[in-house]
Amino acid sequence: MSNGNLGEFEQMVLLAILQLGEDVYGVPIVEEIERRTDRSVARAAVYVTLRRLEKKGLVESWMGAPSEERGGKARRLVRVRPEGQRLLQGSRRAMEAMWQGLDPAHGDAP
Amino acid sequence: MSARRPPRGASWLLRRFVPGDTRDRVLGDLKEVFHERSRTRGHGSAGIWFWREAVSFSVLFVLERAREAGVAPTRGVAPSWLDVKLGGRMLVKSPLLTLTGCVAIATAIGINAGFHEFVRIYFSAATQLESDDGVVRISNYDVAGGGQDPRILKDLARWRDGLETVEQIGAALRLDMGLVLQDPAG
Repeated sequence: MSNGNLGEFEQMVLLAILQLGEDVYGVPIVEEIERRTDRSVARAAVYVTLRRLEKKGLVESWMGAPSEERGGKARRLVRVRPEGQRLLQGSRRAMEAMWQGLDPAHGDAP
Repeated sequence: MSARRPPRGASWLLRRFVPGDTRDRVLGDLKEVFHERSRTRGHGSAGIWFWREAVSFSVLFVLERAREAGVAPTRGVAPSWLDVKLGGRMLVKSPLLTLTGCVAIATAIGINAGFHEFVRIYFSAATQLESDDGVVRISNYDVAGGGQDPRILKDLARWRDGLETVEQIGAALRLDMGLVLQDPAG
């Protein structure tokens, strides 16, 4: 269990997992982040972050069925644990509190 | 599905550097994308992509392991640790550019070292000490005091004490301070 704060990229990975819902594993997580943020991400960074989140107890994983196109290796599916969702909500509240009362013009892109 | 396999060297790199608890996940996912790319963009392109990913994963997991082992960031080594991290990121983002830069810097260092060695061998005046190749520093030692003699301060005091006129302040004063090569008694 973790009491720490979430980094920006950790939040992105957790949110991508939540957005994807079922049968989530590394490949679609990378694609989801790239699609939603419209920028390329280092695939390795996603896996390093996934491993870190698992170690913190914010994500759990289990093996799916092996597939031929993966050389007989099974997909490792992931899911956000309640602790991860709690920290995500905390991060969201913190950001919203920081934005509150700010002139909307500050948030607009030039 | 393509019968072709990802490059062996890149697979070895991944098995070597990706930690055991996440290795199967990484290898499986990369093979899946590799086969997809082989089908849509050709095997050569997929192979190059696989190599890039293998280098990227290796570098990032080595850095992650160092972070976990607490190798990082004590105060004294923080700047060099930052260099390593930035170098790693650069290698991940632009491997070819980074490797080209490394080769260029290594070549420049080699040329520089060679030039210095050439000057040292053919132009540098040797001291008259025995085995002067091994001499890295010459200093004065105060036998009575049992410590290093601050020669420069003493020379300054000696020069200052010898001044008799204002004009002499700007004048050079020759001091005889030749090295003692052997015991005068011997």
